[in-house]
Amino acid sequence: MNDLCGMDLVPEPKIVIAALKACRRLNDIALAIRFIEAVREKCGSKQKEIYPYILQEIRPTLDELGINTPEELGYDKPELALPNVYDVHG
Amino acid sequence: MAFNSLLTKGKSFTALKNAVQIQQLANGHSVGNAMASMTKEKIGSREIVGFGLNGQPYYFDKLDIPMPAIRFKEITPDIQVLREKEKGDWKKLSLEEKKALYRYSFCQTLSEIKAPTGDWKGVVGVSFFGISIALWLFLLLKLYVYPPLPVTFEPERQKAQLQRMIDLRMNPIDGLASKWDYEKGKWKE
Repeated sequence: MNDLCGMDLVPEPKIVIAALKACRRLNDIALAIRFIEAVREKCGSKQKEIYPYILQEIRPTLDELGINTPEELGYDKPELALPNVYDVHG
Repeated sequence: MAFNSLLTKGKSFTALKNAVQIQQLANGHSVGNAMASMTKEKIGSREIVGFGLNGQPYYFDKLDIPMPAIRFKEITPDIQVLREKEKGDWKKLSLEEKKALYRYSFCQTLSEIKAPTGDWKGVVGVSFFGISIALWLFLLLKLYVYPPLPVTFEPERQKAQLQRMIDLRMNPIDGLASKWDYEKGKWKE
């Protein structure tokens, strides 16, 4: 999976679905969420165009396996990072 | 354990090599590899889950290697309960449990890795401080250490040197004397 993230491409929805099913076989939901986050990163500068499409394509698998996207878990914003110093006092 | 090989069906040899290496690391008795058992002591009871960057069982958060070779936290009884639940249907896990499982395997989310840290401010500050020290040293040297310039640097002396260069016709083709008009006795326009 690291090799897949290392290649200069955004994985096809079929590959993402296969990877999620592999995570299911290994009983590892954290890995599945991490993989979806990694796919989001792979979209690079065209994230707004590609990522919603991929999510839409894998939505049936997500519902079938019960995986939440990082957005639903609140992981698209940094949750535990230090706050930006300019935002501290509003 | 060797889930990498399930996905990279084309690369059978590397997949086999990875699988063998993972098995060796996981079993702990790698043939003639004392480093592996030493790192196993360092990582405690954290489970080795994959190949990671180079096969070494270390944890790090990197954007380009999103899945490190070992989990982040050690095995505790509460996590053991959640892991058993994970083996069943994932729809039954609540959001909090999913988050707990994620944080068990990973330290930071990818967006936290990308979040700005403000490190650059410290680095720039210290480098400016170093530059200012260098400038101060230069000023002190100039004031107290260096002897005064020789007398030939005064403006009258420099004019005399220039006149000598013109009289000797130095660099007459492209350089100094070519710029001086010898008939009119002044610089060429």
